[in-house]
Order: sequence, then structure tokens, then C-alpha cells
Amino acid sequence: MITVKRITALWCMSCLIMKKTWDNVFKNFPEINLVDYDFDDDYKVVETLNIGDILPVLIIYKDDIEVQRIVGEKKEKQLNEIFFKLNL
Amino acid sequence: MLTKEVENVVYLDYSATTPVDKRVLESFVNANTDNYANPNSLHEIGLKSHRVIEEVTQSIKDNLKVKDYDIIYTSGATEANNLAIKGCAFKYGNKRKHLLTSRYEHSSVTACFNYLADQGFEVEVLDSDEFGRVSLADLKRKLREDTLLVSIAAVNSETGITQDLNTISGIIKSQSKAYFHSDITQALTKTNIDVSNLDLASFTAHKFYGLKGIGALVKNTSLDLEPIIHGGKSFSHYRSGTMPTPLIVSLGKALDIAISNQKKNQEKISKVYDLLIRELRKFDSVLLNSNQYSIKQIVNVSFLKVPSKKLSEILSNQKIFVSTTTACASKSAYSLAVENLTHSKERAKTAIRISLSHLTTEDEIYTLIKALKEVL
Repeated sequence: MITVKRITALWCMSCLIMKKTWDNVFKNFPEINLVDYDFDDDYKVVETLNIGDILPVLIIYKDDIEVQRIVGEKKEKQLNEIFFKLNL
Repeated sequence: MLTKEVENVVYLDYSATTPVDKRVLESFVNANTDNYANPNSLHEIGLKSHRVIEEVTQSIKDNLKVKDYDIIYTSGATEANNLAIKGCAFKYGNKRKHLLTSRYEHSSVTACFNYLADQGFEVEVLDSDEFGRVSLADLKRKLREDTLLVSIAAVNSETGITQDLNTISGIIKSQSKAYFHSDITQALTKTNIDVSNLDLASFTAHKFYGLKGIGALVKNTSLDLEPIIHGGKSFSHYRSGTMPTPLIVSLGKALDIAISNQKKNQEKISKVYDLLIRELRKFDSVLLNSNQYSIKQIVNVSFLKVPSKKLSEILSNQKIFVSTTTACASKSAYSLAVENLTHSKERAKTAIRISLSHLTTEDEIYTLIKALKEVL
């Protein structure tokens, strides 16, 4: 079971840029459980995730164990490769 | 006549906000007693307040050199940006859902587009060239029949880089039916911006020695908007709420003074800018992030040896005030605009914005340089 926690914010330009890419990528992996957190609205949860300086952040969990973090803007190809490697 | 009331400080953060011009403040104070009546009231003094607002509105239009435009008063540029972008999207978005913006926008513009993307609009961000200017080729490529709105800031607040709005407007108008909005907050009174090329333009008074709490959206009358603040009938049906006559008077005064002194002020700024650049170039490990397209009021520079937050604190302790950009997700300093422009994380972490004014003196520049020499 793969879960992706996605942390974004309304004011974040990189989050806006990534929206279309994410839509395309996650279409390829319908089995992923995607959970969204807003940096401001969900600050209590976000605080516990130690996300660092840059948004957006994707935290990938395999069977509830964190396996990878993806920070900032990435190309569609890069994201597809990352998720393929997770043997979904 | 101009104010810099706090003495013994070197204020170099004019792009964040400016000290109020005393003549502007005086106009505000006087209007509070001379024109306190509600401009929506139908009695004599209410009608007088209404007339005063009409006169100020006309003077703003004259200063902006626009005729068939509405001036919609707002609390500032953030509200004006929200009204322009969301108001346009909500009015026309049932038929056209494609929106374009640039990478170098104020957070209030980005937030509107993220919000609209979540509401089902398709938002695309235009590519920029190596100088941080919107790629005209990408604009031509991305404009579509269903493109509703293009929003591009006239000047980036961090780097001071200007966009070629006239050419961009020409492309938009010749290739699509899209409306063109620009956040002109950092450009107005600093560049010769042609507002008549825009359908919508947002600005705020406190960037040109006016008061905080008043701004405006300039709107071509051919375009309609859905209000985002609802309430009773007011001066403009696009923005409910009692019009703050004194603040509007102060906005008109601030714009009048700034526009009529623009050329003279620019000459003063050029001198301190030249001095600053000359002195900065003498340092090793100092890289300019602003470029030939930047306005001279904004100098973005990376001091590679010192993180920007630390440098800002050191300067602040010496009463020299410059600006850093806070990172997306923390209070550490990190400029995404600088990273995008230079492709260097190091430069993004060490970027400082020095913003100049006609009030800036050569002595202040030397004080800054002396302080930097002690740190670097």
C-alpha cells in the first residue's frame, strides 16, 4: 500500500506549476492513496512532518514506512520514474 | 516636505513600503474633518464627499492617462489582485476556463490562481527567459481560444525585473480574446507604464509615499467583474463598503505628487544606484541578481559568504534596514525568484534586496558599504 502525503500552500508558485504534472502522473498510478495537507490550514500536522524550507513536498510511504521525499518542482518524467521504481 | 521621521537609520527597504509624504498625510487629516460624511448619503455633505471622490477619481485617471476605465478603490493591491483575477474568472469562467500567469508574481496573485485551479480552472505558468522575462514564444504557444485571463506583474518585487507589457498586450490582443491583468504595484511611479494597454491593473498607495490601507483596481469599462465582497449599494457595485473618502483623497494626492516628480526622482535614484553598484562590484563573492531589465529602485544581490537572514540581522543591529525573502515553508531566508533566475541555491540563500528611493543619500550608501566591509 503506497500513500503519498502532499504538502502545498495557496501562495506557493511551485505548487501551482506542479499541479498539472501531478494530475498527469497520479493518473498513471490510481492505486496510490494521496493525502493532501495545506501548509497553513493543516499546520499542526505539517509541523510534525519536518518538511524543511521548500514547498511543495511529497512524502511517500510504503506500508506506513516513509521511503522517499520529493521536494520542489520536478519533471513529469522524473516523478513517473520514482513511482515506477516503487514497484506499484 | 518628505518624511523619514526615524532618525539615524538607513532605510533601504522602500519596495516593502515607503514613509508617508507629509503633504499626503495632511490631505488625509484634512479630509477627515472636511469630508467626513458618507459619500453614499443623499444630503448635502454626503453629496460633497461623493463629488470629492469623483474629482479624485478623475485626477487618478488623468495621471494614468486612461479614459474609459473605472477606478475601483480597495484596501490595497492584494484585494485589487483578488478582485481582478477571481472577479474575472467568476464572471466569465462558465465558458472560458484557461488562465495564464508568470513565474514571478506576488503571492496574492499566485494564491488566486492556486485557488481557481482547485475550483476547476486550468492554470498554466508561462516560461521565462534567462533574464526573468516572460517568454513571448511560450505566450504565443499557450494562448488559446478559451484563454480567459493573462496576469503578469509589471515589475517583480524581489529582483526589480520589468516585463515588456506593451509587446505582451499586443500578442494577447492579436491572438486571443483574453483579458490582460497586471499587478503594477512595483512599477507605478517608477516606470512609464502604459495602463491603456491593460484591461485590469492593481496598485497600492503605500509604495509611493501614500498611506497603507488604500489601493485600487483600474478596470476597462468594457469588462465586467463578479464582486468578491458583497454588501449594500456603494460608490462602485464592484466593491461594497462605505468609501473611505480621506484615504481616497490621500491616494489621489500621493499619485499626483509621485507622477509629477517622477523624472526628477528618477535622476536622484540613478545617482545613488550608480554609486551602490560601483561599490558593490568592489567586493569579492558578491553577485548581482538584478539585471539590465531591473528598475534602479531594486538591487537584488547575493553576498555568497553570509546567509541573507544573518546578514540582514547584522545590518539591522546597525540600524541599516534591507530586505530578505522568507523561504516557502520556514522562517529561514530563501529567494525562490533568485533560484529560478540564477539556478543557484547558494545565491537564493544569500540574496538581499536593497531598495532605493529619491530620499536615499550617498551617505547612506557609504554607511551600508562600510557595514558590509566589516561583515564580509
